[in-house]
Amino acid sequence: MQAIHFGDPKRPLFGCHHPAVGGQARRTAVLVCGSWGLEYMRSYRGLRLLAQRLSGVGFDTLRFDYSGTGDSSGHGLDARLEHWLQDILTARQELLDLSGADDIAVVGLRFGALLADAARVQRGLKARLYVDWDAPESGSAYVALMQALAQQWDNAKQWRRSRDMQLAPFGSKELYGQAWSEPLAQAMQALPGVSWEVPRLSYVSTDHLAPAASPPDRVIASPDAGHWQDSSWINTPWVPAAAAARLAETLGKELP
Amino acid sequence: MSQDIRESILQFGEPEPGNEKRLLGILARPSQPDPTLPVIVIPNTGFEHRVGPNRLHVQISRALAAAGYYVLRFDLGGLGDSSPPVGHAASMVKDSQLAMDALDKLKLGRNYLFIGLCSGANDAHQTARVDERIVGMFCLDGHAFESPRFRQLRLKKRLLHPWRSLRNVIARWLPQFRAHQSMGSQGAEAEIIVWPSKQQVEADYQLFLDRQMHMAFFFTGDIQSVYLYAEQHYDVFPMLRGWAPVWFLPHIDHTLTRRAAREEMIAHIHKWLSSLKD
Repeated sequence: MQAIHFGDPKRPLFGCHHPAVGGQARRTAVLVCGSWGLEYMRSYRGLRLLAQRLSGVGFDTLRFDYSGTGDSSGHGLDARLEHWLQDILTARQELLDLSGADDIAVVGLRFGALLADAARVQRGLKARLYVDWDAPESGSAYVALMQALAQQWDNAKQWRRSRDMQLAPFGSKELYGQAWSEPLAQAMQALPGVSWEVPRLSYVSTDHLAPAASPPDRVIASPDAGHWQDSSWINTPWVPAAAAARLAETLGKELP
Repeated sequence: MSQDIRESILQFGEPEPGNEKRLLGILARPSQPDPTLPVIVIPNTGFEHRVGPNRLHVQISRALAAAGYYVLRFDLGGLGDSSPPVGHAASMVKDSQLAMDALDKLKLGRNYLFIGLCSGANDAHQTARVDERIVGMFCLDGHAFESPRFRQLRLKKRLLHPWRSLRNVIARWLPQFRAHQSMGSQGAEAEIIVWPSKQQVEADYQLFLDRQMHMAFFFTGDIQSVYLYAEQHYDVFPMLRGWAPVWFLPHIDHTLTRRAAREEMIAHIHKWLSSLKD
């Protein structure tokens, strides 16, 4: 694995490139688009594991942090959805340059699946295959879930605290620890669900439902659970070893 | 990232198969470094990767780099983007020492100051015990022990508010407070955290004081089951009084979910570091 900074040197993005292991790399490279907020933290090591499995079956793979998040440049309050869509295009080009592949597949986890589809619709992102892993119904459904989980978790914390030790209220521009400006909130909530106009696979955890209108033959069952809707898992890492191996195996059969 | 700081990737430690170094960190570099300042090192908090809870470590790194410090935030083996050594269990002390070795080679400063939250505070403490390159540590919700006054306060709270005490007992059985065990490879690869006894911590503090190591302690209201008043750390470890500042902020939670809380903590770090320059 090679950690890299890429994109505009004035606002570099952080990413990790996993070159294909052993022999010749495939003609398709895989771009991993992660989720946001609590799910970004929970899934960081899990997506590393996925990238390792994908590189193990011959795919050059890149995962990265959107601007204003993780180790990428920028303050969270300056993060905008349009920047994230551009980041996906920038990451695609970086991956093609690093790998020499002739096309990419995109694996979008949760909110990352919506972002990848928005990058396709709004910015012309091209990919041989789009894979959504536990995609939410829509941006508004995703945000509503994040707000509900945050509220449940925070209520539980407050409930345990004595009256003189109650936590201060959240500020107006934050969603449970995440900087969350009004423009970002509006843009996130406006995202539609994933579209089936393009070659797509839906990868679905044991405790999740496939996106609406999914053709049954394009839905793959993951052997692991996501626990995305359970507030008790907010701080528990998601490292789905069996699911990562199965997805890598599936894409190995599906893509050149 | 501010215009006047730069961040670079630091991969260090033993090479893995494929010849990449097994440990990874991000080094924030000031535009106007001061060679007299210690280099700041921030290890992981719990299982979270190097950006820290709610991006806290990134915010600390960038704020301190803007003030002239080099700051490394990094992943211990088995966490984030770092791997445990092939054929060996992960060791937070060994990995922290490898981080300092890598920074030594860059000749950025002569010594190191660790900032650690929760398990990170324990990492800083354990590493300082064996490595004199560490000249300071800022610990957030690190080692905390009961004092006689703590027990009195706890009893008083239980008698005055029996219902709250009961519900906290109940809370331990509620799903949202249970630690989930199925952490897959992340849990398996990271080192199991062993917290030292009060006697060990006391002996270590004496060692640190003999070395004139700088220390500061910050406790939040989320650890009310073991910490209930500002002076508690001094009551348990009187030797720290007059040397190491202790802050108790009951309105703040352990992972600093509020932006105002993160800003408040960073302000405390700034203030403390500035006091060390005097």
